[in-house]
Amino acid sequence: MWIKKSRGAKEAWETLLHEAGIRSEEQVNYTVGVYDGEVLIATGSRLGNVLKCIAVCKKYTGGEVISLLISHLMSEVFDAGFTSCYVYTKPESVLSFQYLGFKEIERVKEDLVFLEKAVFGFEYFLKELKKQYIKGERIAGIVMNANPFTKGHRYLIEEAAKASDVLHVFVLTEDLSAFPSDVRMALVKEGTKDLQNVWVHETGDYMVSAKTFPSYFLKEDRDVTKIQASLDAKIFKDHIAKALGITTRFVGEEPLSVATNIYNEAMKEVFGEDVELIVLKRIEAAEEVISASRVRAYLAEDRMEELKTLVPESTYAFFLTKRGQEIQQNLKEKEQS
Amino acid sequence: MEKFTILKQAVAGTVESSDLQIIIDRNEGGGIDIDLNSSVINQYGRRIKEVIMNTLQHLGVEEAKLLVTDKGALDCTIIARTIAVVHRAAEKTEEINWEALEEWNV
Amino acid sequence: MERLRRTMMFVPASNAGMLRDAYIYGADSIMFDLEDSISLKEKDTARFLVYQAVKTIDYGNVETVVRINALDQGGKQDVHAMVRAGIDVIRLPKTETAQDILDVEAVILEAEKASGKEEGTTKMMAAIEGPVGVLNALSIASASKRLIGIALGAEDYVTSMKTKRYPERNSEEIFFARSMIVHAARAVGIAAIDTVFSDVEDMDTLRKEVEFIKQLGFDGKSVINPRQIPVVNSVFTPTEKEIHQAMAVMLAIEEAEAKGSGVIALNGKMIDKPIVERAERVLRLAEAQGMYRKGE
Repeated sequence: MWIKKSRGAKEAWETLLHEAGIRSEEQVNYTVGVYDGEVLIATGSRLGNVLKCIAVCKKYTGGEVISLLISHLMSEVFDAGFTSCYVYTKPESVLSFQYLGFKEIERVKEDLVFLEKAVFGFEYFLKELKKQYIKGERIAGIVMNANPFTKGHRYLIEEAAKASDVLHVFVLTEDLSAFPSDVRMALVKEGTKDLQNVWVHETGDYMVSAKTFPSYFLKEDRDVTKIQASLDAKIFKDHIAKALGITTRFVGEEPLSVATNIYNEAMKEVFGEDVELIVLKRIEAAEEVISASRVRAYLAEDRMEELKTLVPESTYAFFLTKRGQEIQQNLKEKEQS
Repeated sequence: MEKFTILKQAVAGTVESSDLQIIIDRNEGGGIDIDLNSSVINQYGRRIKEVIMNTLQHLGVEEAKLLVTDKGALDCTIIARTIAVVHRAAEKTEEINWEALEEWNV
Repeated sequence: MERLRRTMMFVPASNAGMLRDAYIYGADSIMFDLEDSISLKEKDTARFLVYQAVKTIDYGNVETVVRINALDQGGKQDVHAMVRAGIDVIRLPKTETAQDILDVEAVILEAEKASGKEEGTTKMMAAIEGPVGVLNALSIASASKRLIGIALGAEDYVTSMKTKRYPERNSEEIFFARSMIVHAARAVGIAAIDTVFSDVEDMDTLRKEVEFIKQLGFDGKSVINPRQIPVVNSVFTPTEKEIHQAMAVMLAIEEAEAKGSGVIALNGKMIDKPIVERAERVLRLAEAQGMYRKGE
């Protein structure tokens, strides 16, 4: 279905979704529709390896249409080169997905369930993570996108590392940022290699950013952030923290972001007594907080001298490489569009 | 006998009614591990796994991890999907050795 | 005696459910399609699926046919798989010349030899889907003893002819193609199968079309949905009158044989070979519909 190019298709799509109580989302790579004659009776989309916006007209529920839809979407995911497939759905639909081979990873009460279909999935991820367990009195964790790794990130990590025996840094694996995940990982590793008690890991597909979270079947925007945060927090507390013995989680302060505050509140609620949430203040340069977005803006504007004050040498050196320049070019083009 | 080695992840089959989907991947040092999902797992789970195991053995596959979703497939479908996914994972889909298959596939 | 081929049902080879249930629909032949209904990336899995199904499932009296891909697009593997599986007929798509038949026949022979199957047991069928094939119909039909029939594939044909299908206008655009095919088939003594009717909701136009092709002399039609089968069969079902006439012919023959007479007459007219064959055909069709049993 060409929902971006065809008005007719888009309208039919949105109508079906609304009837199923789902909001349409713009962020999808691929959408497919199931038709009975001329009428659209079911639809499903994917963004990367996440299935979303799945709706089946009430008259046709009963397994066949859903199987057809999901089967097709799954093969699209695997054809695109992914080795695992994810879906966020309502608790009522969990059984349908379980019959199709999906396993539940975590859920938030009656609102949301997160499922996975993979040969080497969450179980394997945690098993591998456990192998990296390091003993210590205070074991802590911090999650970041680091797009790219800045002095601000370095500061957060330094402060967290000072206050802990062991610090595990998780870099978001999903590739929706200007800097691809392998680059972000490498820069974090480079920028922290001198810190003896810091270990860097990928989050895999298990922790996501607000961007990819499919909020379409939840009712209000505020709820969305809270629910997503709760899910992330549960995954962190019940599985990741458990695997590594983490008892503290550090986050950077974000006074201007309502979303981040909602996030932090939700985390506190979920963590309860088991994991302590500590909010660190960010450092400033020229009276402005050093943030990745600021760095990306300067990069797009070629303000190279100023960048030297915002990022560590290792990150700056990357900007000068061929790949770094390609990314800079992309940022410039995005600025202009 | 032709021996197949799993080189990469591969998928064969669909989750539509009467079919079976297999996702197979390497499993270094882990032998054969089958994770089966079926609405009739209680009555037929063992049989389905048996058919898959037999086929894998005939194909000389010694190590593999499989995620199987069954939607009521007949034995012949299970065998066909297993043969297909192994060929894909072993990157042997271009020239197929029919003689070798026919030796055990009567 | 030639088998009935009133209906040849298309079954996509990738559909596990349909492969399993195909024989219950009552078609005279089932055609498993490895060609156009299978996406490029699923050709390998579909092949294994049909191979295993045909090996294992008992299709009873139903004739099994497989539509292979062009030889250089996987067809060679298709032939090897299906010969070994024991398929009755291999159907070539888009046949243009007699050489196309010979090329595939060579692969079939290779496969029969390699698998120890009796040479010549696998039959062939040619689908003619373009102007060159239509004009070469006779040489195609005569190309091999393995051929049991030729069929028309109208969709591709009309596209090559720079027109489209007009079922509502009696499909005049394919009249010549149909004629060529049925003539070639009759000249050689093999079956003529008509093209599919794509609108599975419109049974009325389907019926009219089947009546017309029966009138031209076709043996049957390809179908894409089980619901079309009873419609096609009913058109090919003889009337009571036709059945009685056929029975009368058979009785006259029996009588003449009992008397030792070399000449058979019925109602003052000589009964020669074509009439006998037609009578036999009528009774076979009636038998298939349960309207007649030998010995009644």
